[in-house]
Parts: sequence; structure tokens; C-alpha cells
Amino acid sequence: MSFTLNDISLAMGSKTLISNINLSVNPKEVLAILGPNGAGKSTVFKVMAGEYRHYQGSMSLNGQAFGDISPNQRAQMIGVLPQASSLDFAFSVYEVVLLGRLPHSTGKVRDREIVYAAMEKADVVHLAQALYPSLSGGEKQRVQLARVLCQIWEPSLLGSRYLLLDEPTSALDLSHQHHTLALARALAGEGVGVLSILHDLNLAAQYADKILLLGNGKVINQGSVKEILTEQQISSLYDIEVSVIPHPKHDHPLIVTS
Amino acid sequence: MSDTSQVQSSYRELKVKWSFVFLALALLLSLLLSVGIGPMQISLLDSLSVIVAKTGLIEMQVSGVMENIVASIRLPRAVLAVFVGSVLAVCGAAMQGLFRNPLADPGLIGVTGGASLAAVLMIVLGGTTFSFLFAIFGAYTLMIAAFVGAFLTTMLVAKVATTQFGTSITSMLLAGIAIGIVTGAAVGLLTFTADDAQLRTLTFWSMGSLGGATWSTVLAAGSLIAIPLICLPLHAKNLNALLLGESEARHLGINVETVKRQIITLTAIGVGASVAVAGMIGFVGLIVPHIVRLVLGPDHRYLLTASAALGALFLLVADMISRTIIAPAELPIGLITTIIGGPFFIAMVVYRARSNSL
Repeated sequence: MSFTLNDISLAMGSKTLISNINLSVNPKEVLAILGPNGAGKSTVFKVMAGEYRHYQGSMSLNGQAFGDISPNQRAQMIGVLPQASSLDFAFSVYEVVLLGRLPHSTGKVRDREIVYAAMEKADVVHLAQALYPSLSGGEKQRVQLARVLCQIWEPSLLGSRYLLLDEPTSALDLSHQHHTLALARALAGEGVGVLSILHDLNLAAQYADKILLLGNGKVINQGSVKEILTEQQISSLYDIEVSVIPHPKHDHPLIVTS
Repeated sequence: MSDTSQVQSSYRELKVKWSFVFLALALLLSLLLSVGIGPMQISLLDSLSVIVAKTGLIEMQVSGVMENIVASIRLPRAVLAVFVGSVLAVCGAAMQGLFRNPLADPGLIGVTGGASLAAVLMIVLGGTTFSFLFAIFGAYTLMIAAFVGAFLTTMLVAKVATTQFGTSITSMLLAGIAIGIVTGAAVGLLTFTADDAQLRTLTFWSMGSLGGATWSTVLAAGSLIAIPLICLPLHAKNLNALLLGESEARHLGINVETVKRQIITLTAIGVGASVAVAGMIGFVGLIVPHIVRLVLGPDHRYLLTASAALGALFLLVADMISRTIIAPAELPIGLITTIIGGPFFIAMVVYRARSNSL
């Protein structure tokens, strides 16, 4: 049971965006995708989120061909947090989060419980009645996170659940960055497979189990945090001098630019 | 925490409930008023008794003249106002949800223009070039033509305004202006070939009128208008998800392409039928959903139904004004909705420009 990409390639017009991507998101694991701008991270993400359908290669979700699964069933297994959502209709935060329950039919009472639990996790309960357009960027991001959490809150009978995060920390302050990734980590503990695009190498080092490096639309390397986050690999991919030193408190590497 | 949420959400449910009660009562009252107002004033009670007697629920003696006026002149007109007003408002609300912008009114983005061009083509050339269509579709010809016109313009506008980055309301409104001008010119061109009788129909009709209402037109238009009135509210949850964005809706398991196609078809049926039967009545689809959103919020589960009720109410009142303000003559109803709607639209644009959300 996993979410697997076999030899996925995608071209827009004559331009190849990604080629021969192989990756697998497994339950209980956090996979971070790293790479410079334009490496194809978002393209891979959008293919997995079901937005691009003209890819070549094959994708399987929990052993089933991706294309054979109905959109609704897919939505019960995969939660997607996009980078930014523009919603300028005056929904309350509660109503936005409740939209995450659309793929399910668990009833009003249960939905309300789940919405509140998810809002609590994403630290937005105090905003429940606030109007979404009036929130700050970071608050909006957390509300969207709550919505996605609420979508994959309960184990699905259809198979393992997956959470896809596209730069979930981009609009967040330091404490909420860690809060969000710790949350993703905790979900992985409950059996969810997490994939996240990240820019901050140190956040990836701290929260990911596995890292996949993308460059020029190709997988450069993938493996455990310690295997991938080496001075040589980072320097050559990002074209910048770095030092990788052991974290003073935890058992993972710390990357500093030198 | 859950206590306050319980209180707040039940407060909102209460508000929704009372709004619907208010709308239902106001609608009933203005329906009776509308039937009573005219050269021969009929009291509310008399109007009610005629209607009740007509439906055959209770045996009652009513004066023959009164019965005639109410049953064959004023009531079909009022019922038509209800149909047209509610469908224009619901279509406006649905289109705004689909395109994620409260300015996407069927009139403003050119859909009404497309529908009217197709209908005018039928009026002017129906006796000659297109007579075979009348032979096939009979009383529905105008409506079907207007539907096709509305559908094609909606597709065109959507095509023009949609890029891979989403739908741009600016391009949509600009495309709407262009389509409005072109269809206006084409209608102008057709008026040169029209004979006197057609010309009268056209002028009257281009400013919107419920004057031609008879039970047969009401029945024909109503049977088409009922389709979007019933089916669009079924899309309430889909529209809510679409407000988040098309990708987000897709991630929530919604088959976005299918839903979009269905909503565009349904609104084209609604706008087409109402344009065919009542001409160009602008701004109902803009004003009504906006007011409902201010009171009840953007949730389409309430928005669509409440818009239908308020739209019906709005057009009934506008029709009463149109019949009484320069009595015994009649002001085209489209003029009245435009006089109210124009400034309203400008105010919305100003507000949105100020808050940087145009």
C-alpha cells in the first residue's frame, strides 16, 4: 500500500517539465521534495494531485491504477494543501474548514466534531467565526491546513491516506512552521503518507524520513536524510557553498551556508 | 468553545430560517398586491378569493369582470414576473460562484446580449428564412434560439477569459462589453429589415417587458425555467467547493469539468428562456445575490434558494412600479431594473476597487 509514480514524464507544448520520475510515498513516512526553483517540484506535485492528466508513465494509489479511481474516492484518500488559495467570498473560517468534509457523508454532528478537532490542531479555533478574506496570509494557510486535515481525518476504508503539502510553511512564522511540520509528522505516526515540497533544508532535515532531490525535471537522488543532505550534493544542486554539521541537540544534520 | 460555536451557528440558522419566512410572506403579499393593482383596483382579499376560487379548492362566488382581469391578465403576468425574477437571480448567483466573482452577471458578461441577438433573429427572420424552425419547435422556437445564443456566448466568454492560471474577471467583463456592443449592432442592423409590427415588438422587448404574458407563454417559459430553478440548487455544494478554486474543488473530489458544463448549460436555459419571454431585464442577477450574500453569507445552500425568492420579489415590485408610475402608460421593466442596478453596480465596482479585490 503506497502512492507510487513509475517513470512519470510530462511536457507542456515542446518543453519537457519532468522526465522519468520514480517515487513512492509510503504510509507512516514523511517524504520531502527539495530542489532549486524550476526543478519541477510543483509539476510533480500537480501530477500527484490529479491536476495534470496528460502525463506519461503510470501512477498507482494503494495498488490501484490512479486513473481508475473516481475523483470522490481519491479525495477520501488524498488531501492536498496548495501553496496559496485565493478565496474572496466572505465564508467564515468554520465554513471553509467544513468544506473539507465534502467527499464524506458522515453527518452533520460528526462533521462538526471533526472540524473543531482539525481547527484545534491547526491552531485556528479562535478564528472559527472570523471571515476568511479578513485573515492574514499565515492564518489563511493554517485554515487551509485545517480544511485538508479535516478531509483525511479518519482512516478510510478505501486504503491508506496521503497528505500532499506544497510549501506548507511559506507564509508561516517560525513557530507555526514547526507546528505545521510537527503536525505532518504526527499524522505520519497515525499511518498517513506525507509528501511535502520544502525550501528550507533544515526543516526537511528535522522532519522528513526521506528526501528526494529534483533538478532540471529529473530525480537527482533520493534516500534517507543523512544520505541525501551532504555538502557535496547540496553544493552541486544549488550551486552554493554549504557546510553540513551535526545538529547540536538532535540526531540530524544541520546545513549552514558558508 | 463548542458552546459559543453552538450558539453562533444556531444564531445563523435562525437568521436563515427567519429570512426564508420573511421572503415567503413578502412574496405572497406582493403577488396579491400585484394582482390587485391596475386601472381596476382589486382589494387583497378579493384577489385572494379569485385565486382560491380559480384553483378550485373552495367553491366561491366572484364577480365575472374581476375574475377575468385577475385570472387572464394580471395573474399570468405576476407569475411570469416570479419565474423570470427568480431564474435571473439564481443564474446570476450560480455564475458568480462558477467564475468566483460577484460581478459575473449574465447581462454584464454578454450572455443576455447573445440570447437576445438569437431571439431577434427569430423575430425578424422567423417568417422567412427561419420559418422551418417555427414549424418544428412551435411556441418554443424563440426560447430555444435564445438558449442557443446564451449558451454560445457563455462558452465564448469562458473561453476568452480562461487561461491556465484561472478565469480573469477583467477579460470576462471586457469580452462581455465587446459582445454586448456587437450583438447590439447586429440587432440594430436587423431592425432595418424589420417591418412595423416587428419593430414595435423589438423596441418594447429590448427594454424588457412582462406585458405579453398569457397563460400559454407562462406555461412554455415556466416549463423551461423550472429546470435551472430545480437543478442549480442541487449544485450548491459543488459551487461552494468551486469558490475555493478549481484545483481545490478537484482535490475535494468534484468532477470540475462536468459540473462547469452542467452549470453553464443550466444558466443558459434560464437566461435564454427569460430573455425570450421578457426581453432584456438587466441587473437582477447582480443585485439580488449580492444582497443575499450580505445577509446570509456566500454559502450556496442558502444563497441559491434565497436569491430565487428575493429575485421573484424584486421583479414583482419592479413590475408594479412599471405599471403604475406613468399609468395608464407603461414603463418598460428593464428600464426600472437598470435604473436601480446601474448605480448599484458602480457602487460595487468602487468598493471592490478600493479594497483591491477587483
